[in-house]
Amino acid sequence: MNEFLEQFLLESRELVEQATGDLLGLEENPQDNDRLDSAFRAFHTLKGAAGIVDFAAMGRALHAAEDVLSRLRNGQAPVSAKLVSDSLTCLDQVVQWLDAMQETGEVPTDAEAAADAIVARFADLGKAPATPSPPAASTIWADALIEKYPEPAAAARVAIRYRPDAECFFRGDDPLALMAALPGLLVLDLASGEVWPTLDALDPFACQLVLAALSTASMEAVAAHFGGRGDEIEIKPLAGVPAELTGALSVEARRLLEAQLLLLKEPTVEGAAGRMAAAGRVAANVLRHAGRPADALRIEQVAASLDALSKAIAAVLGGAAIAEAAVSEAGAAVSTQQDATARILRVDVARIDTLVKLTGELTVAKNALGYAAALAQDGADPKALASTLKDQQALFERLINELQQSVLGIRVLPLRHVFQRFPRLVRDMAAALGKSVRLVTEGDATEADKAVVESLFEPLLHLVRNALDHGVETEQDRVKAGKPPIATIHLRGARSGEHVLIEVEDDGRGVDLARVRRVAAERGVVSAEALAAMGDAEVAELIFAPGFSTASEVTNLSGRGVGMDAVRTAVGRLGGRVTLENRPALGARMRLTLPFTLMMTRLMTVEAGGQMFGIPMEAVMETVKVAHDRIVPVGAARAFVLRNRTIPLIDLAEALGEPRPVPPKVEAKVVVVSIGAELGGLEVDRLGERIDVMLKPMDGLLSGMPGIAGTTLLGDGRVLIVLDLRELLQ
Amino acid sequence: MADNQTKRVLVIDDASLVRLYYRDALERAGFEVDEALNGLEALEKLMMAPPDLLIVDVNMPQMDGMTFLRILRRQPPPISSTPALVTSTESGVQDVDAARAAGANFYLTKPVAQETLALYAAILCGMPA
Repeated sequence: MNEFLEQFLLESRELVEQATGDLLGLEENPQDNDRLDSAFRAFHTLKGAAGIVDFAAMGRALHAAEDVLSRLRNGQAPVSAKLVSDSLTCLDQVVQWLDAMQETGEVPTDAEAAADAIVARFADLGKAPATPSPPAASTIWADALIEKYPEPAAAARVAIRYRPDAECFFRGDDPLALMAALPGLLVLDLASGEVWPTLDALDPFACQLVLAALSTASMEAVAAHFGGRGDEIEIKPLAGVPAELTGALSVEARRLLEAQLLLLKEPTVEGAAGRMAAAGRVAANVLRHAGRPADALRIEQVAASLDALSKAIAAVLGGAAIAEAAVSEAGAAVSTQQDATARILRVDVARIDTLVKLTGELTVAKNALGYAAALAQDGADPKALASTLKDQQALFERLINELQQSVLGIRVLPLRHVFQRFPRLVRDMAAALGKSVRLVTEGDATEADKAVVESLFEPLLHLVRNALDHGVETEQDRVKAGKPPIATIHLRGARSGEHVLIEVEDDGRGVDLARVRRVAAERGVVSAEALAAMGDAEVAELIFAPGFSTASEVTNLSGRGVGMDAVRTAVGRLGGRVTLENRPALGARMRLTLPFTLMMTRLMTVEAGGQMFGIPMEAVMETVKVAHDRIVPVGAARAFVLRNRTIPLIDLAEALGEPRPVPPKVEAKVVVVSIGAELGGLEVDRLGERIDVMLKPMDGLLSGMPGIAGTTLLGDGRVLIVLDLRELLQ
Repeated sequence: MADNQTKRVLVIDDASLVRLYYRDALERAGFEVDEALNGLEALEKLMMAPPDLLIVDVNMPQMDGMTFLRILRRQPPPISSTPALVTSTESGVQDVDAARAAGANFYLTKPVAQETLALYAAILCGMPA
């Protein structure tokens, strides 16, 4: 996909989010004119963007919505629920189109019917538009242009119409020069706009021209040339593209290309690279045979990326030429199979500036090292040299720290990114369930690592669905229970030290403990004895057990066979945890505790059994020395008392199956750690320093080892094993 | 890959009649043809002089066509990317799927008309029409 389309998709999605938020706000408070203005502008900008990429159908649908919103602004019509719903439907359609474009990298060609449906929705809202129908959709001008210049038109790839704003001269625009500089220009046609006013009314400083042109350049190149003049420019691709690009494919060629697509889809066991290369080679050969050497070359250029190659072959089969932009893009991002949206990161300019500044300082520091080297060469006093080097090491340490912080800062996103999708979802889900719910989001400016934020949507969706479906009562039931008829779900974000806390809280009926007990017994989630011994809090926790689902009827929303255990698993994968606070009859609160960043971890190093280990600093409460006579056996385990609290004690070396070469001393060195609300003690041989590391998750053989969270490389090249305390203390 | 060179096809089939029939069709269409009696022999020839196209039978002694294809795709480039056309008497969907799973680029059911073979070979080798 070219950069231009990428930008379009990015901006359009933001505008859709904005418009959605505004519409929902407007529905809640119809008098909110700021919201109305903002929604109107979003639709307007979206429409303009659609025009730039020559997506007439989208422009038409948006124009219909914009038209109605404009009448609201003028007070010609009241805000109604239907109008909001219709506008949201229009946005849904836009999102579908955007998704399709993201997928194919092209403007959908089958959008007309969907656009008609949207336009029809708005047609019966209020009176028909008083102004003549919008000019945006019509492309008769292009046909007229082709008729006028048949010969150049045969070679042209795009037709352009440029209707400069009347005020354009005052912006420093020179429409004629701009048009004359158009890449691949074949024909330039000038005409007057609408009807010339009479001479006394004529404003010589207002631009009255309509410029049209035919060009051999690509859509992207033309659009880039006119960048930022969305409303004034119309670009239309022409069917009469050069024969080289459309060289018809024989039946055999098509069959061969289709077979290559299938080959590329084949699940790869081994020899994947070979298959892909073979498919690429065959596809290129097919195009060579069809007399399309340029396309064959392009296929070869993208053949290193499975995705790009498949798309290119599909494009050829679809009768299109392969866009040059697709080639360069594939070269840049070979086989990154990630979601395209996830690869784009908007970065605050200030953060980039910090990086640039730091790079400059690092260069200075590097030069200073050269000075130290010269000193050493000249046989300087070792003590003076050491002192110089120490200073420089300190400088480097500071700079690298700052650099790390800045780089991490770039990876940070506000929770808004995921929170903003919920108002709409809650509205729709509540309507589907016939419940009245208000969603209140708080702390959506809280930041967290991009990877964390982007993985949060699904778990949160589960929790919100669950609250809506099982927690929140119907309006009648709420009134009967003496609650306000409209339920409230809170979605909160907050930063707490190195953690990000996210809460989903509802004021519904809470977890039905009796039913949980019954279902757990029925499904054999735990044994009957264990169940009988459980307290209420433990019973409530059972909803996280695998295979547990309290849905007595399968509903559209949460009855999907994936229960709360999926949430716990997903959050656990992010290095976080889920806790439940249940208040029967009053509601439930789910809390996700997530690491602020997936990358940096501060560790305390300890030695046990002759081996060094890392303990995440966030879990370390304190280090204490405990006299051996204060350690008491509790059953098979041991414990000690610290400030009136009994803390279980684990000998780290023993727990990890390491031999114990050092005989027990009179005093035990103990690291007190906290896991959730629990405290635990780890007996170690020696306490080490504190270090910041990039933690690598375990893979390969070690990934199955319980009690180990990951590894990291130490400065001296040794591998440090980082402990997973949760597993270790269980 | 220079375009003006004569394209080389390696026909891998244990049936001598089939090899002869294919050789005749391909040579008349301007190809240079080499033969192998089974997958093992084909691998050896492949290493010595990589062809532009492989025409592979499925049922062969010593090393069958599927095994050959799987080994082929695991080779280092450019050998691994050699286009492979499977021709077999089996015409079931599962046979076509199996050949693709092994790494075949295309599948034709025997008997294959000489013109058809020559046409597909020309496309697969990227010869100008």
